[in-house]
Amino acid sequence: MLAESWTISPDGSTYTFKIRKGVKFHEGGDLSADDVAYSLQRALLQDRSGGPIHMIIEHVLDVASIDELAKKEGDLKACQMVLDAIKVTAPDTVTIKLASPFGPFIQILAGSWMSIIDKEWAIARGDWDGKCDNWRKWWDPKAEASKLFDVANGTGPYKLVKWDKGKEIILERNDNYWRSPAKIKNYIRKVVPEWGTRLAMFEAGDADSIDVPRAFVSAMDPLVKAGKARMHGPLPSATMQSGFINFKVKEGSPYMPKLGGADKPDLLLDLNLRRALNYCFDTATYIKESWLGEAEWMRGGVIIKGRLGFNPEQKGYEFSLAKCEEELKAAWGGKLWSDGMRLTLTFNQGNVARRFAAEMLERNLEDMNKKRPGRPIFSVDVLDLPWPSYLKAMDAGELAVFWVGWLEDYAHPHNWVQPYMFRTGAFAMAQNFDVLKDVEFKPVYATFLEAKKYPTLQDLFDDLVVKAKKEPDQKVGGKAEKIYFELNRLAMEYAINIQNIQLLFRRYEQVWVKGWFYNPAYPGTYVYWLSKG
Amino acid sequence: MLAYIIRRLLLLPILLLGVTVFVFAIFSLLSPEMRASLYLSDVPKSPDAMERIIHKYGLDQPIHIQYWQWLNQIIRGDLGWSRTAQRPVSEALLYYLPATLELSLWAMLPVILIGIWLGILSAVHQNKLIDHTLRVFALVGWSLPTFVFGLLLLMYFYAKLQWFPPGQISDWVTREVINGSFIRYTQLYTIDALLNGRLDVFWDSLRHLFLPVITLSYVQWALLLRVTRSSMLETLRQEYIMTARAKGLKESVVINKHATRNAMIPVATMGGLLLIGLLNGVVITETIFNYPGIGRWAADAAIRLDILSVVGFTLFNGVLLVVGNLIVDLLYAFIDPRVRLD
Repeated sequence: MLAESWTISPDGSTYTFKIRKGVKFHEGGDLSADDVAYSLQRALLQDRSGGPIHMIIEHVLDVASIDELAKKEGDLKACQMVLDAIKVTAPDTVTIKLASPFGPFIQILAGSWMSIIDKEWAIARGDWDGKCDNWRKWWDPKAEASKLFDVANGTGPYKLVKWDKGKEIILERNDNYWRSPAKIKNYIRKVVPEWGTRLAMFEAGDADSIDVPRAFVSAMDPLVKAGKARMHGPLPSATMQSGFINFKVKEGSPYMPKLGGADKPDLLLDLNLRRALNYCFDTATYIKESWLGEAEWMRGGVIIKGRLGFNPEQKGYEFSLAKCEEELKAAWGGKLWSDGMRLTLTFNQGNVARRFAAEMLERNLEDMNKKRPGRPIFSVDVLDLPWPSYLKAMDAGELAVFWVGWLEDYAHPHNWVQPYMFRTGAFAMAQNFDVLKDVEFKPVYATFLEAKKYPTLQDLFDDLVVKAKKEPDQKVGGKAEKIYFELNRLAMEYAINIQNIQLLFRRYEQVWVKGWFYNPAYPGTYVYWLSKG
Repeated sequence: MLAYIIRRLLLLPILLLGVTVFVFAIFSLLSPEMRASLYLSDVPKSPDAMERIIHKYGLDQPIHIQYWQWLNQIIRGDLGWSRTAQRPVSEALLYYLPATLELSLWAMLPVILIGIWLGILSAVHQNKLIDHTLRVFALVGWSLPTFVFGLLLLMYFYAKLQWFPPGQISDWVTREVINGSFIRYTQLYTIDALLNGRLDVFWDSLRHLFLPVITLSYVQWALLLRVTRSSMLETLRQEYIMTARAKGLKESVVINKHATRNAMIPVATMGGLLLIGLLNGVVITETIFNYPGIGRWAADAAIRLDILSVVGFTLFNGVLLVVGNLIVDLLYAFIDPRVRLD
């Protein structure tokens, strides 16, 4: 928004932004190209662990973190590389040079993590001074150590009046906003953890909009029917819930799968078994019972509806106990059916929907024991782990089957195929696709790609993810879409997940609230357009 | 007496040290990775995120070193960082305490006065209508879960009648505080309102306090009523009471002068526990009424496994418990001259 215009070089690697003139920061400073470059450089050099900046660093510097670059090149050179990649090239112009072109880069840049701050103001408060010889002092700070932790001086339509941490945020209209000022003068966002209290505040008219957990939507329906509340939705959200299958569980894992009574870390390397898990999963019931019918089946794909690469024609695994039985009989050349197995299905404690998913699969798999009397049983355990244990076990590759969700960071299929399929992806890291060797690839959709053999499934996924990312033709019907179709197809055919579903969401507001519109790329409320009356 | 108080106060740090060891030991059972996971609300999105967090917060150091460093910090008054409150734990305690204190004080006063009065009333009119009514009232109060009672009050008196809103204060007062037209001298809104000469703010504060105070008080009323009643009945059966009556003293003198004072000994014990009870009660009450005190903060922290906040709250409770017990012991000596603490 602060760029009047921008251009992208023909090779897609240089972005040039012309910075808007006449824009003022909340505390009175004038916006300049220098502020923009400083803000971006500062974000890259701070690079908080677990934070979102790796999404920028990855494309600008071709490394996972600034620390990785500094270890390779030295602190001074690493910083200089950042300053060279992001710089002021004319009084009102900022240029960003990417290590390799990436279509959705502009979207990542528009995220809240790339907010522009006043350079002089930040330095005066003790933040990074813009020099390369001491940037480490401000690198990866603890939240509380950041000099700008609880203050704000932006250029947006609202100014921060008070952040009463854990209690409320009070914003006030910025009457010097570069567009026309917002309609609502004061915006207050309160934290009200108790649902009953939240509902009471809505009913009393003290809350204009509230967050309604899915389990409580029935409490809101009478209000909507009586014309006392407005409901938007159900609308597709950029969120997916998935079951994940680990091809090879880490040695020594307490959740080690077994085949015929013996440890079998790679039990789920068998495609028939992975398919069986999908056929035995009653997705329709899962959606109906756990999500009140407000979710869409992804047909085995990993890209949500509404993004380039979602393929409505793709055939997924429809629930069929007969097919599940067939696949189980074929798994491990019949050994699984004759010798039995032990499998642990895990989810994080307290998550009711994931519990339902795991227990349903457990029941359907164990029911197969009735069809194979006298044989060692299929023993399926459902285990809920506290969040810290769950995350730790997932990160260590100890879980065989686990359920997690993903909320996209930016509206592009790369943000789906990367975590689900790429080598360093958040989930793919815990699934060990590289244990599946000698994989043949025969394109079905991307016929412009050659058929070839890959050393591992992971190599195939990586190659296609990178190809799609670098493909300049990102239009609907274009080459990138075809590659994403391939990735979706492969995810389904290799059954790397158990029935992904895209969640729908609802928004509830008072009838006097006007101006809200749906933007799936921005799940929050954009207050600027709202009014009351 | 003085030696006794000093002895008790000297025991305080040892007791608190025990609390720190115990609480820290429980959390230390978690591996560094699990503790690092507490800093992540989502799956780690970059491959090195977990290692970096472990290193950043020193979770890979031996546990006794971590404890020693933490203890050193505590001695310096640094209880660590509260992720829930987004401020240092010591600051969070001070920040949330006034609200809880205000709520507890407003609850404590009616609890003690009304609870004892009802207990005496019930005992004096044993097995009469008033006694039966009060006993039913106590039984309901004792068996009704706080969160159910609080929500019922909220739904009726706020959502339906809109008389008593949740929270601590209305938004218009918050704005006055921000722009400086209302000064918070003591951080207790009711007192500050009087000091500012603002009856409108005083009234607004009372409206917000009313339902949490009733919710918080009811259980304690019930408890105090029953203890006072039993104690009073026991005292009224004593021979010296018969003697007093036989001497022809007025019933009011017998009750107020001779019986009540003796009956108050077990009630004083309750008084100390009452404060702890109130503080435990605020966890639920503050959550229901979205009242920004220590209780809501502690409940949030526990749900988020915010270790340092939980430890800070536990230490705070430990201090309160020890000091509360000390006051009760001192009250014994005051009420019953036969008790000599030294």
